[in-house]
Amino acid sequence: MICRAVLPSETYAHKAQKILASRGYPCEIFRNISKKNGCGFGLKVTGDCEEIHKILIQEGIPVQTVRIEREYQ
Amino acid sequence: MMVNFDNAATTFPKPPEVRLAVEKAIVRYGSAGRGSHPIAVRGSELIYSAREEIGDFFGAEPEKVVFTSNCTHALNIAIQGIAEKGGHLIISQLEHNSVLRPVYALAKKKQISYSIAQVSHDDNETVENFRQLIRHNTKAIICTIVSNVTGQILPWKEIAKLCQEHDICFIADGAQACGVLEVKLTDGINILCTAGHKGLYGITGTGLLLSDGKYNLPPLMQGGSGSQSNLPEMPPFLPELLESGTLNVIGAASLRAGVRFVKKKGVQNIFRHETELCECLCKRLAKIPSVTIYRNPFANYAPVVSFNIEGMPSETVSDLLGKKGFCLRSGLHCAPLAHHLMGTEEGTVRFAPSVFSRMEDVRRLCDCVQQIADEQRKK
Repeated sequence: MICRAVLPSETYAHKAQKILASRGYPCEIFRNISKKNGCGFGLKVTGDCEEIHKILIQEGIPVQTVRIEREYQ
Repeated sequence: MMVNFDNAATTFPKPPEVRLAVEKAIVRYGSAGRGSHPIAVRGSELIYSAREEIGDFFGAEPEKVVFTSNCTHALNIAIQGIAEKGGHLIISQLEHNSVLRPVYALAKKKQISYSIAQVSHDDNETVENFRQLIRHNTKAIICTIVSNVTGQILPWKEIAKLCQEHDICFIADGAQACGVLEVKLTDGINILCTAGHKGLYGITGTGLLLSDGKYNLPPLMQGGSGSQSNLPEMPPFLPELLESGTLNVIGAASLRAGVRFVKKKGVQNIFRHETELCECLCKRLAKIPSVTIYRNPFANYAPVVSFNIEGMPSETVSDLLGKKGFCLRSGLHCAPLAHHLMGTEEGTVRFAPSVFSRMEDVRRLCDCVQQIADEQRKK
């Protein structure tokens, strides 16, 4: 399953990327532009979205959303 | 050949690693945090890596490492931010104008009141002096860790403890301390401001604000941040909140290389080397009757020494030394309070070595000071 996690900034995207990679979830940063927040950043991760969301919250990452890629937008 | 002993202003020369990092950055990195094309991505990766390495060095989370243009910039963000809603501030009498002037300007606008704590050679007395000045509305103590004039080390860990006891913010000016003393946020510092171009060996135009996250600071400037860009206000999280406008990517690359250099050398080894040079200078200059060295045997010092030759303005001495190939700074060093304390309102000559300074050059410098003092005596 491919998930997309939307994060408030590129700094948090990089931090989240390192954390997820260390937990065995390789991921890539993408630029996320939305009507609601304007320019932002996100992560494309292969793995269980719920688990990924849980890890990010545990690590204090202010994740905005985590969704399965096909549900995205 | 010119020998630089004005490293308290900015370290010169820079390590080869820093020069290489700058050269590489110019050809490799574009803007950071703004786009998704390859050049921007490279820049963003570099910036995050610099935040991580610098954060690790100071015990800060990467997102709480804020790049500024110098230490003054960082101090202004911290001071003006903490005093946004008024209150009382305490500073020491060894502060640089980068602390005194923003505090004075806020007081002049009647936004805050402030007190100046006396600094003693006895650390307990210094801490007690700060304690006596704390009021019910004191918001912060803003204090240098090392005097840029005399090199005196202030008891920053004890001052941090005092702030914790009274639940007030401790803003530390690490401009002369970082890179020669082990300074960490875990010492109890809430906000650490420092230069990137002094003991951390980055290029000029670099500074840092490191936060433990306890105190929220409003931005000093507003502008582009690369995120939440449809909002009319700055994003409410660090570091973007305090970093409007294009980041100094080349400066961050230099600072990362500088911090790596300091880590590799070892802070304690750098301190030891530079202290040996200062001790040699003090020992030799103490033998010249007309030279005054501004050090107290009971105080602790970082590697900075101020001195004067009797009957000679400090700028004359530094000009004569400059003609002999030695670069030392004269005058007030932007710290008038410290000179008032020492009774040197017309300034001092400041010796500030770096990791690259050599003992043989210190000895040659001392011989030149002796020569200048002898010539003055004959007049």
